[in-house]
Amino acid sequence: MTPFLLTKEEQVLTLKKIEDLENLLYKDPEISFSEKIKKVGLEELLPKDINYLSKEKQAEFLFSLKENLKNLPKVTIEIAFDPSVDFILKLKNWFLENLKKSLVLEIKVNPKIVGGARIYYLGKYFDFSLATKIEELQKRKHG
Amino acid sequence: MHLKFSKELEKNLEEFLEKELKKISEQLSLNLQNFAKEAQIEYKKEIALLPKKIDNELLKIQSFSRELQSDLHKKSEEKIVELTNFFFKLKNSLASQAQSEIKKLAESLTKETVKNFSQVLSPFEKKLELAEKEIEEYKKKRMAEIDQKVYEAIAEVSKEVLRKTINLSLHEDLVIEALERAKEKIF
Repeated sequence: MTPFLLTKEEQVLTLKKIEDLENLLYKDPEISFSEKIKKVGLEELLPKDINYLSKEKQAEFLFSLKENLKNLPKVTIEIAFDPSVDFILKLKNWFLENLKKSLVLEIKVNPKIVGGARIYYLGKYFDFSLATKIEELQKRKHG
Repeated sequence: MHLKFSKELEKNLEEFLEKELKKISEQLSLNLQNFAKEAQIEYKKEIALLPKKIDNELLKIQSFSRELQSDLHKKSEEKIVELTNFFFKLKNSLASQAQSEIKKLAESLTKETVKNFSQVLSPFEKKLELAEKEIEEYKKKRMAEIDQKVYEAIAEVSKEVLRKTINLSLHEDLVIEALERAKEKIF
């Protein structure tokens, strides 16, 4: 499976869509499953052959997809400014190119860090914020 | 006859005696009067001399009194001098004794006081030492806090200046740089 990257907001929204689809699964039998997928907006995420599975299998697939999405490794990045859509895309691309893993990207905006970033990933922490650099510089200067 | 004679004699004798007695009585009366007169004169003389005698006696008494007074004065003065000397010596002796006693008492009291003072002061000295230590530590702590606050203030000013200086493009570059640096360490 090709690695993919969702922002935290996208993850929440996608989970909500899957739950909506689960709810629709046994409702309105006259409406096809593919139409229901379009209705909730999951056509890009779900494989086309899901339409040919039994309802039970579809339900199992949706459940396992939901669990996989919930358990995706998360990378949190704390930055000092409100990122533009383009920059978020740039970040996504960077992670996909460099980590080659499916991830959830959580972006936290904290002006106190001044600039740079603080990164949290699988219990590890990397601080490259300007605020910390300034504090370290102060400590070095004043003992 | 004989009887007759006797009566006559007796009569004559009586008359004679009566006459003689009268004479004697008159003489005595005269003598008495004379004596009284003389005595009166003598008495007057004596009376007249009496003030002088009294004066003399008074003078003698005064003189004696003066002598006595002078003597008493002298003796009193001598006694006073003697007593004064005695009391002076006694006073000096007592003063000397008292000074000696006071000195001993003062020394004893000083020793006792110093001992007591040391005993009383000892915990205070420890407390004082402790308090000084605490003050010193507090001072160091406060100075460190002040230093820290100054550094923090400088850091905050630096941060604020940087916040205003950095534009969006630089922000983005710094984030990408942070990711590049983190790549080897945490990803």
